[in-house]
Amino acid sequence: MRRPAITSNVSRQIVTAVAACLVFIACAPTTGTTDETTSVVTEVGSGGKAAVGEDANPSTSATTDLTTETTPPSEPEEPTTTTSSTTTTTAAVPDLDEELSEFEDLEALLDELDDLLADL
Amino acid sequence: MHRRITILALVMALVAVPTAALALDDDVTTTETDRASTDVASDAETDRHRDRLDRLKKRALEAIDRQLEVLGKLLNAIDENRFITPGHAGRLQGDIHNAQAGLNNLARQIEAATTLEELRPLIEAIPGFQIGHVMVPKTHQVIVSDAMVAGAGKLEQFADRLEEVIARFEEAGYDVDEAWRLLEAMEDHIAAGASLADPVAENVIGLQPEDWPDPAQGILAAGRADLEEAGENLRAAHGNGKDIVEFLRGLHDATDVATTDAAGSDAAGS
Repeated sequence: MRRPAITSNVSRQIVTAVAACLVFIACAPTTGTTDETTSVVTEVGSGGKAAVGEDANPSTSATTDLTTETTPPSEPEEPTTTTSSTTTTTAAVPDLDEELSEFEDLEALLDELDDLLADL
Repeated sequence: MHRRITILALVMALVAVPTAALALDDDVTTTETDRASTDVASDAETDRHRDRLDRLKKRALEAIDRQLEVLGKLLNAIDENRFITPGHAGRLQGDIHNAQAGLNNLARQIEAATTLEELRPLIEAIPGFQIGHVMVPKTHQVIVSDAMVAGAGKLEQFADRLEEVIARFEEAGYDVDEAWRLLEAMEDHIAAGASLADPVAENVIGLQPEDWPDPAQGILAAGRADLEEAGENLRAAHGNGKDIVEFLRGLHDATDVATTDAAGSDAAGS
């Protein structure tokens, strides 16, 4: 005995729906992992080193390292600070020529003493 | 008869007296001739004596003039020196004026001398003033001693100023250990120079001609040695001072270069 055509179409739709559900379920876990990785990156970026140990996921570790190395943008600011302090140092140093100008005749004085010694 | 005898006696008397007178004249003439001969010889001797006396007087007076000239130069040296203390200058000028007065008095006595016996001790008195042995070296040593004390004082002021400058470099963050070391050496040299030179003036200023050779000779020799060593110390101190200035200048210049480089790097970076 042969089944009616309508019954056959319904069965095909059901099979298709079930297959679609299975495909959806199969794809769902992949989406969840992406969410977790994003979460870890956010934590590291907020400064918590604990985030490195909390997730052994290699992709998380790599992201952490990258984040640490990216921190240096603040380093170029340090030389700027040093330069500033050096400028201050230069200003505090006395002008030797000005400070010692009144002793410029010492050489002549000692020459005079030598001349006097020669008369002894 | 009696009248004839009288007349004869008168005639004899008239003949005898002129004869005796003539004989006496002959004797006188002979004595005067002898005496004239003797006087000529004596005059020649006297002339030679006077010539010799004059030559000795001239040489003695020239020697005194040379001593007076030396004393005049010493007075000028004292007047022209800017370091000698008024007290030391006054004492030396007093000694020199006394020596001048003594030599001038001696010159007057020499001019008045009429015999070699009188002149000889006057000539021998000239070296007794010991102008070259005592007055000249003691005057110079007093001048140098005072000048070195003044020089040491000036160097001390220099060291004090350098100390301030070094401290300011240190406050500014520089490593100035070498400068401090040099300053310490400088101060040691100044102290040594001053302690050697300072006592010399008082040690020698009281020496008088009669102190030659002892103790004047030894005291003057020691004073000279001390002054020469003091001069070496003051020279060394000045050398230390110049080294400090060069050291600080080096620090300053190095900082200028670093600042310029840093500024250049910043400019290139921005």
